Amino acid sequence: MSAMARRESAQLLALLAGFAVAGYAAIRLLAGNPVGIGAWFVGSAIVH
Amino acid sequence: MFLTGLASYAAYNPNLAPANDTTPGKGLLGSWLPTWPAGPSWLYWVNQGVHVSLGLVLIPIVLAKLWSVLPKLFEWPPARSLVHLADRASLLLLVGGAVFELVTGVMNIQYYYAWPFVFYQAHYYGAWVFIAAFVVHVAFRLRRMVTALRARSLIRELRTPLSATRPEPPDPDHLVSPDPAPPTISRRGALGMVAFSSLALLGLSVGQTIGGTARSTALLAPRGLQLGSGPNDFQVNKTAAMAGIGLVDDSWRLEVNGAVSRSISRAELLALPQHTARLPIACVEGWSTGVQTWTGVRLADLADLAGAAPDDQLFVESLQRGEGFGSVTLSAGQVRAADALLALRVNGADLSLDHGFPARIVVPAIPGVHNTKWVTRMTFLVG
Repeated sequence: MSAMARRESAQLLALLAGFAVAGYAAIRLLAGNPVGIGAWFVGSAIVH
Repeated sequence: MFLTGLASYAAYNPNLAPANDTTPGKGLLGSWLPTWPAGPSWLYWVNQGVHVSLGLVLIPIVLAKLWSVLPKLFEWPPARSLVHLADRASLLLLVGGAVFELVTGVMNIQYYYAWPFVFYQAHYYGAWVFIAAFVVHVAFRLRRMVTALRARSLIRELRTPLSATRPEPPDPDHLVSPDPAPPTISRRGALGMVAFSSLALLGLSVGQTIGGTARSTALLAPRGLQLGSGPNDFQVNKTAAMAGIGLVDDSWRLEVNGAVSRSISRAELLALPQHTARLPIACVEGWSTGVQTWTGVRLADLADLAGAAPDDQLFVESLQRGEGFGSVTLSAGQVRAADALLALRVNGADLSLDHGFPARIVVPAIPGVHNTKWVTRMTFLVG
């Protein structure tokens, strides 16, 4: 495996780990009010 | 920000009792947090001051950072590979998380509860979404960031006026415009604008954390508008009227439950050994009363009076009506802390009704709302 491919694999793994933690938190976050939270979160990303 | 936020949540001692927990569904995101200590007395004060002030300081910095990477938002093609697609998806969490946290945080310190959700839960879980994306983001860009920062000398940039400002050479990440317009501001000008904005936000809000005379400089902080009079002339968060408390007269009795149950009048409390402690009350929103001189009965003495065991916790209930923080569970360590009081007087005078007359809890280093006012019942429980 080339250094580039190794780096990309590591990055993909790290990203997936990040998504896992974020997803775990997001399930709890969205439990309160899915539509309201979703709108505010995506809105935050877009409005900036 | 993340660490002070985590500490701020831990300070509520959420794992001690369900009533203390503002995010009961947290699972692995906090069930491991340790019990919050009963000192040093400035611990929570400093933590919240740093959390809120640093958050405000970061607003111009985050906006400038987002502005500087704006071209990446319109990157084409949107996904070159699986890694690239995943990376861009994580940016949605990173940017969404950062802005969401800043917006909800600022709204909370401004008393503007306009969300369709509970602040504590949204801000706490939102922080986890952000930090997960942030750690991965930084981990794979740290080397590039260090290289970029080393490529230019800060001193030289600060000496370069607009007339000598040149665009950067093309970079591998395509952040530099291929056809840049003439500069309208120097790099030192851009840096200075961000630094000045951050310092202005800090200068116009930090007074609420310091308290006392500095409070009047906190023009961006809405709290501190309602004060008592004389020795009780310091910040009130929730007034007696807001909490539905009318006049409390001589018929008031404190109910203390442990191995034995007692009903104690205020005169009897005043006849018990009195202890004086100099403590601040600091709130989650970053404001503080500054240090006040509280006098009353040690919680440890009341525990002994009720025949409580040394490791018993204490459940405190207020006369307060309505939602939120009418009761609290204190840890054994907090009950036995030398300066933990059921306060009857402050600064040499009786507590005012707004400050919790006839009696309130004052414990070192706990969140402001846990210093329960208008106490009616105290129950010592096996921890």
